[in-house]
Amino acid sequence: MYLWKYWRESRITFAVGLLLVGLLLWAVLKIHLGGLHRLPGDVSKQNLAQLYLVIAAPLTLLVGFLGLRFGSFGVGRDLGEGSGSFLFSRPRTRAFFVWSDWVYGMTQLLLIVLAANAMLAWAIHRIAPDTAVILMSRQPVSMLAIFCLHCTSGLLLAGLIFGLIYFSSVLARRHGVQLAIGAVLTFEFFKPVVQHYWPQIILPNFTLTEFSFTLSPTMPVGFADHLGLSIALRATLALAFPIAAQLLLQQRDID
Amino acid sequence: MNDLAIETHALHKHYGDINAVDGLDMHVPRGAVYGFLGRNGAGKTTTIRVLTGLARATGGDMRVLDLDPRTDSVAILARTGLVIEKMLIPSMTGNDLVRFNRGFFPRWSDALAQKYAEVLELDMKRKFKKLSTGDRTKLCLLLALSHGAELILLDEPTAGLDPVVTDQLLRVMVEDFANEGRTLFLSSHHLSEVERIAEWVGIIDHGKLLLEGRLDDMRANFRRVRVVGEAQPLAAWPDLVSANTGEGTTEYVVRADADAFAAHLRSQGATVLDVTPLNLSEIFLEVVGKGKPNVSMEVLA
Repeated sequence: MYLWKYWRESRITFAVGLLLVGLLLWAVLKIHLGGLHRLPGDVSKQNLAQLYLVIAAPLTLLVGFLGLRFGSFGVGRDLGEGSGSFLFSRPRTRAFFVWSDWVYGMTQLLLIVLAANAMLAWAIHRIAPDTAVILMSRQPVSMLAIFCLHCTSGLLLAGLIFGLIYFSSVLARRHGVQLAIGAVLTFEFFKPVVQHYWPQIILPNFTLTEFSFTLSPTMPVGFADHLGLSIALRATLALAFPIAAQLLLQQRDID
Repeated sequence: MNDLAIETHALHKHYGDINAVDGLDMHVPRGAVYGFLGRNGAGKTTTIRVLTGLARATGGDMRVLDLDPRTDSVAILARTGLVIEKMLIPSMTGNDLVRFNRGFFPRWSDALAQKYAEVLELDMKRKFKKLSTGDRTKLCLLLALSHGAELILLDEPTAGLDPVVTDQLLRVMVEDFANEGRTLFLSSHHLSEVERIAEWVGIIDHGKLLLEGRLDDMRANFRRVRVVGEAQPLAAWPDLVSANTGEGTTEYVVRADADAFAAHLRSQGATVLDVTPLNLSEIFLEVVGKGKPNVSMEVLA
């Protein structure tokens, strides 16, 4: 019932998301390697690391955009379209609607992130089938670890944007997406200002780039020491938005 | 089990300084067709929202199907059919909406939904956003009636509809629902429609219930008494609703004991021209239309 409604609203975005991921990977690989063929001779493991980073950046943007789209479905959309009274007069708690939206949306985003990284891993495997580890800052890192790290990173980013858009859609209804984008842009605008005047204050990067840079050859591997904490904090932040949306809906009159 | 499907006591709903519902005392018997009458902004829709848990009451007590909407709104909604906004999910067709709705209600009947679609001549393959106002209302009603609800709450169901569609809807409501012993609560300011189907009537104004009772009792007891000359000093008469003087006559409206009232006037030397009954529209106008300060809440039955 409700799953069907969410799927009905989001299925085109889901399909387009998967398609875009495939096209993006194909395009990047085509540009950088001239196609998906095996490289002759010895493949530089450092180059493979660079390739991963090159592909991860547009994938991150795409996953962020999909998080935005999925966040705009569900309860916030119904409130914006004026069908909130109909939806919330179905015999379910308001928490049910919020967490159903969240579970269905995040499941689709997880599938897209997994598909994207699986395709990437498959492409790397085709290029260099014998590679089990690649070099990061001259340290060997297993392909499996990189795969998991990228999936986590992508899912956290998608979850954060999904939650932010979802909450702001509940808060501001049809203006929710603009509100959330405005909040992100304001944050990104003021971050360098804060860093310029108060360099001791380190604001988190909304797009989680420093998280990705733990894989960068230019940054020390030691940066990943707080990986668990970083993931936990971002997961908490990503979860804070649907919780806030639920609390807001439970306090609010539906009109 | 309580004999009342809906019961409120001193119910309040405030929006800032506005008292949308202001101490509402209402009693809707089970199995009744109850017309909830009031002008625009009288508090009808807000009352329904509060009763179904869509809005939170500011104060007072209420029971709907023996449950408290503040804590049991899900259980109430499972047993209630509600038509309030006439705005469903715009991108869904009638068939989609039936499919969506079915999963929420274990007693949903596809046969009933199909029957109503045929009776109401609804195009179930058309998207909701492309339906006319009348068809939107019909679809809302179809969804509310097809899940075996014990209580149907309808907010202005015939607003904006042409007479043919209105007639169709009223027939469906009475023949297929009210006659089965379930409770139909209908808010409206279209008095002729309510008069056609309601057994009980409650009149609300400025968030207060001014009058509640059986429609037949109201018709039997409300009388206009016309006398020659100026108004008599009758402020203490308990059932007097209004007194208006004009062109050599005075018209009194009483809510009960019209014969005793006429006899009292005669004993004061007045010449009573006639005593005539009032229809629901006239009763409504007398109770709320002129805002007489001497009208107090009265339960007739």
